[in-house]
Parts: sequence; structure tokens; C-alpha cells
Amino acid sequence: MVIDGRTGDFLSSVELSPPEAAYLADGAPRAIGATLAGLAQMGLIEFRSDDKVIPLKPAPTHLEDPIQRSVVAFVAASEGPTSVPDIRRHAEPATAPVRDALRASGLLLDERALWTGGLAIASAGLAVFVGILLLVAANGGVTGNAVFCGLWVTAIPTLMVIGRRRRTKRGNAILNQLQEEHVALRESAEHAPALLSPTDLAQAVAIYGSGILEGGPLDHVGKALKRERGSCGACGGGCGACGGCSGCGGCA
Amino acid sequence: MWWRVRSLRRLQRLRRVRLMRTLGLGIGWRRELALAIERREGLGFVEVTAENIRLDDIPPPLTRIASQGVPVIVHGLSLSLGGADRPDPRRLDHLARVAERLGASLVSEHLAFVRAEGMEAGQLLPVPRTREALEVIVENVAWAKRMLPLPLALENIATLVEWPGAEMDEASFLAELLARTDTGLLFDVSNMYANARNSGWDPVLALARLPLDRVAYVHVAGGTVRDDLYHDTHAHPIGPGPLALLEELCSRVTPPGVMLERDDAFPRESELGAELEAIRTAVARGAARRVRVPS
Repeated sequence: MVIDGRTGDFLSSVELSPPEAAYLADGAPRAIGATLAGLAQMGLIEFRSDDKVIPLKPAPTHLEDPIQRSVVAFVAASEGPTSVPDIRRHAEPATAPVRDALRASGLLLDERALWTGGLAIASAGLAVFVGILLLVAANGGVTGNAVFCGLWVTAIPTLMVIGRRRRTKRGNAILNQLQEEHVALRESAEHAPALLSPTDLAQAVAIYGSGILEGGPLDHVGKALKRERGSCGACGGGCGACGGCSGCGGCA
Repeated sequence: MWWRVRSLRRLQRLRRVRLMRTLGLGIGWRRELALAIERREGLGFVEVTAENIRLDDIPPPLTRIASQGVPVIVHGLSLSLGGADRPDPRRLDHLARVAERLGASLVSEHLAFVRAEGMEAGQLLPVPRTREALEVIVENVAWAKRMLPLPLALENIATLVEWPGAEMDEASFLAELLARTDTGLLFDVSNMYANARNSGWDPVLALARLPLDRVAYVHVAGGTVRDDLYHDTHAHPIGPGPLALLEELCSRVTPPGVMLERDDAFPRESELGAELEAIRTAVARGAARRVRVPS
């Protein structure tokens, strides 16, 4: 991870590895997705037409990335083809060092910031709700229906805002910069992914998501990786189970 | 005020002339090659095909390259300057707008026709090399030049067919057309090699009849032999034939720019780099021969 400091309003240099960029962009699911794309490009695994993954070669000894090692070991140990959700569940713990490094670099919010920020947003949402109730009361009385509707109208956006908060301002700036700097990588990944090195392909998926592979020669990979958006490996029960995914790395 | 405008125009003209003299080694920009092109250090220029560009959706890597100061040349495929009809003003306008948006220093088109009486051929067709056809093409080129805000260069095409009754050979026809329209030459080395090989004439002798002082830049591409005919596919590595002709050209003149055209079966970055180096080597060998001859 190379992140130089700000020079005026510009971030002078940003180099994140594919798992780091992926985790910064979209949490653990994307970090594992980018890893899967890179491993497929290396010829170690293959995406079948039913979206399942099979091993092609034994895991080489030179794999240093813990997420790569975790994925390859799981796929190789499975008796049959493995589903992407299963791989994500298994490899999720291997992404923790990446998350911790990003938090230590000030790119992702830490637990405390997430909680205090979440409480602040929830308080603001509650204030808006009370304000609406007061307005309704001043205009003719509060009914049970109005309370219920008001609760939903304020609670849903509040939970969405809380759930989306993962990155710091600097993290957002660096992600934007990565997306602006790698437009040529995106173009090549969309139109000729086979020409890219495994690291380049993983980086493209990391920064822009698996959607960039859809409609191209690696359409099946893009679709297989995209299927599980909205669920959250660590929580087990999807985004609702843990009250949003910010705490477990993010879903969206 | 008027003298300021005149000075500014003169400066712009000088800048374009300077750019043209220093294009160096370039490549045809294709979406598939976007990353390899961006990573190529010291790339002299890129050429972009106007018909592949939508004005409301110019590929970001292309605008990025242009904004970094890499010269862009806009290349047309569909003006049909060799046709009996006047070039379509809408196509000319598109060519001009793309060139303007990318800050291009030059536009280029083929000496060919692609439609007649509203029917599209779908490929570049050779023009009849007759005096009568020459008069029509001279008018078409002059018309196009009036509509375009930038200098125009014309490219010789590769063809497997010839019209009967030719009154001039390819080189003489091109030379007269360029002289009468005061137009630059986009010299496609591979096209001339293909025509010469398939028709049985010597491309080196043809070089002597070409106005090499008008060369604006040079195309080089790969091809393959099928049924004893050379096909300029733009999908294979450059063979020794086109490279030898490029070397011969560079032994006679210093082209402002030489570029690789690759349109299909795109190679990996390393292979693309090797292709570009092969071009660079041929240019250098030709230049070395030119230096040695006077001494």
C-alpha cells in the first residue's frame, strides 16, 4: 500500500493492491471477487456456466496474498464445484488484515467512528421524525397511520445513510482518484480482458466492480461475481441481520 | 486587433508544423489497447478513427492522452473521396468536430470510394486511375479541404482488384492528385507492399515516383498470405516485406511519424511493444543508410 500525503488539494500518489482497492471500494465481497477474477486469469480456477468455480491447477507455493491462498485452498479442498457465496463466506476472515490496514491508513472508518457517526445520523433522523410529528400535530392531530408512515419515511433513509458509511473523506478521495486514473484499465478490461495480466484484471474488478466484465468476453465471470451483491458473508443473514453492513465490510 | 488574430493563427500554424515534424513513433488507438497504449513510454502520437468515436461519448482514456499532450490524428474511413458524388457534409463535419474535440493537428482519409448512388460497399474500393476520375477526385478533395479546419492527408489503399483501362500507375496517380490539391500523403507501407506483391511490380521503384516530400505520416500493419495473395489484415505481426519497404522509405526521407495499425487479434502488451520496436528498428536502419550514402 503506497499512499503519499496531500499536496495542496491533490493526492500526489496512490497505489493500492487489488484486495486493498477492492475492500476500499466495496468491502470484503469485492475483495474476494477481485481475487477470484485474478485467480481465473492465472488459470488456477475456472468459472463454469452455472456460476460455480472449479480448480484447474494445484495451488502454487508462491501465492503470498492470504485471500488468494484462502480461496485456492477452499476451492481445491471442495469435493465438487464451489459456489461464489460459499467461497466468500470461507474467505471473509482472510480479508480482515486488509480492512485493518485500510483503517490504520485512515481510509476506512474504524468501529468507533462508525458507531458515533451512526448514532449522530440516527439522532438527526429522529429529530426529523419528531419535527414531522410536530408539524402534523399542528395541522390537525396525530393519527397512528401518520406516526407509522413518518417512522418509515425517516427510518429508511437514515438506515441507508448509516449502512453506506464506510470510508473516510480521504478514503473517498482516494477511491475517486483511482477511478479517474485507471480509465484505460477499465476500457481494456471491458473490451479485451484476456489481454490483461491477472493483477491488472483483479485491479479493474477491484476499482470498478465486476459489472465491467459483463457484456464482454468474461461476461459469465462478471455475472457470477455480481450475483451475491446485497448479501454479506460475515453477517450470514444479509444486510438486515446486522443492521447494515458497515461493521462487516459493506455489501453494496 | 486584426494583427493579433493573424499572429495567433501564425503561431498555431507553426505549432502544427512543429508537431508534424516531431510525431515520432505512434499507434492506432483502439479500446482494446487502451491500457497498453497508456503504459507505452515515449509514444509519439495516436491515430483515432473518426467513425468509431461518438462526440457525446469520447472514450475517457483518449481524452486523457490528448490532454497529456500526445498529438492525435483523426483518421476517416467513410468520406468516399474517390467517389463520383461530393463527400457528405455531415461526415466531414463529424471528422472536423472529432478533430477539434481531441485537439488534433491533422486529419486523414483514404483515396478510395465506399459508396455509389446511395449504396454502401462496406469496404474501401480502388478508384479508376484515369484522367477523368482524377478530375473528379481533385474536385472532391478540394471541396473536403475547404470544409475541414485542419490539413488533410490522403492514404493509398490495398486492393485485390483493379479497374480496367488504367492510364497511370498507382504512384503517378497519387503524385498528381497530391500536387494538384496540395495535400499531404499518408503513406501506407503495407498497402503498397500488398499491391506490389499481388500485382507483381516492384514497390521500391514505385517509391521513386511518389512525392515523398509530402509524406505526413506512415502506416505499417501486419498481414498474411492466403492462396498466394497477401492480405493486409491488421491482425497479424508485421512481416519482413513491409518492414523492408519501410526501411527503404526511411533511407530516402525522414517521415514525420510512423505508426502501427492493429485492428484485430490484439496482442498482449509485450508483443505490441515488440511490434513497435520492429518499426523503430526499420526506421533507424533506413536513416542510417541515408546518412552513409553521401559519405
